[in-house]
Amino acid sequence: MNKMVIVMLLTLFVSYLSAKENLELESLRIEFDNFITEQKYKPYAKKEKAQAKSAIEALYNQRGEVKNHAVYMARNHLKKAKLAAEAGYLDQALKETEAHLQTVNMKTLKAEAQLARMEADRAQLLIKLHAEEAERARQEKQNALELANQKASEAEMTQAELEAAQAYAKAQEKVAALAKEEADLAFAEIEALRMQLESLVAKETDAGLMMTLGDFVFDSGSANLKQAAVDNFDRVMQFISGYPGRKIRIEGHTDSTGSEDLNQKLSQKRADAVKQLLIKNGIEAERINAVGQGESHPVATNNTEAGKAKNRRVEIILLK
Amino acid sequence: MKQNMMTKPLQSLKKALLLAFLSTLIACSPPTVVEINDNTYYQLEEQVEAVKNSQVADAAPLEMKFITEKLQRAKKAKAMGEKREEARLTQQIRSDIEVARLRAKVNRMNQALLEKRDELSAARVYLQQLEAQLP
Repeated sequence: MNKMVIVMLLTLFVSYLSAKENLELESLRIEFDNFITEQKYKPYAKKEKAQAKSAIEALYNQRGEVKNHAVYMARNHLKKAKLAAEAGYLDQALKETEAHLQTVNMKTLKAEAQLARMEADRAQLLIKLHAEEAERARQEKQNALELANQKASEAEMTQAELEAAQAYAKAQEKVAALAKEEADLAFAEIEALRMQLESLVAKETDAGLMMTLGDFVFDSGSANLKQAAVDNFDRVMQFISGYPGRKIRIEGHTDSTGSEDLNQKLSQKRADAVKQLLIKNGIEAERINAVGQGESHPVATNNTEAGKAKNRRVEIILLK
Repeated sequence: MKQNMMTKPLQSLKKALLLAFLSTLIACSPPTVVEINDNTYYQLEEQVEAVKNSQVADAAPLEMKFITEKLQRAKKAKAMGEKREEARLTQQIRSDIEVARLRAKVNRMNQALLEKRDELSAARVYLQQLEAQLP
């Protein structure tokens, strides 16, 4: 029994010595030790590490050509363990990076969504602003149009009013001018009438003193005495007043225009009108005899206007 | 009683030594080498070709160089009838292929991680720009 123990101890000692001699194996061992103590590879390739460890440990008792092969295989085991650990580490790193990327991508998506919402809100706001701007512009345009229309209308009205006023003024001016013209004419007529009346002269005839009133004292075709003639009848009254005791004969005459009967009536009416005027001026009616002679006693030809004018007359005769 | 007290630690020491001895014997045993037959090389050749035609070739050129060289040696060993050498080379080539594949995988993952980090960085910048627009 003791011999057996001694043999075993010797075997162990010999193997220890032979291992000590092999520097390459030590190098491999150190490389393996360094590898398995590296923190980042600790969790990975446990199976490959165990295989490498076994292979390396087995080398201590190998010899010769077999040993070279075993060393190569052990080195390959170590390589495989390292690569497997690296792969495990990379796999983990990839997973972690992928997780980080997912997290970042999620945040990115959220940020993009938030930005998209903001963009949409902004776009909506812009649309609203544009709509309001368009509405405001439309309203302003409408207001401007209304104002322009109003101004145009006012201008038109003003123009129309102005034109109306001008027309009215012109009309008034015309009326005034006409009135003035009429007044002038009337005045001229009155003046002419007055002058004619004042220029009346008495003629001595067989029947007595006679004063002849032209037809200018009557309205045309009528027996109405003109107001001017009435107002300027002083000359006639002076003539009559000079002979207060004499009877007065008033004869009306016409031209030959128109019917004889009509002319007779017109001449009578004109004689009567003068008679009434004399009565109105204080002459006694008994002194006056008004006679219509018609067209029967012309003093001039009825073939000319001048002759006809002379024939249309009223004669006031102060009988002898 | 006293004898009992002396023999118990001795027995425990023996058990420990026995375990250590057995472990040493296991460790001293030669590494398990793959078993090969006449088709092993051709299967290995097909495997290598497949790897050469994959993205692994670009991702692990050094390993591919070793693999190609070892495949030549395996072919030679097969031709010479050196079964042990062929078996060792076959085992090494298979292991190299695994290493190459792992390296390619790590390279891809590294590239993917770089791209992912770039993406994350760009996403963060974009997020910051967005957040700056927010009230």
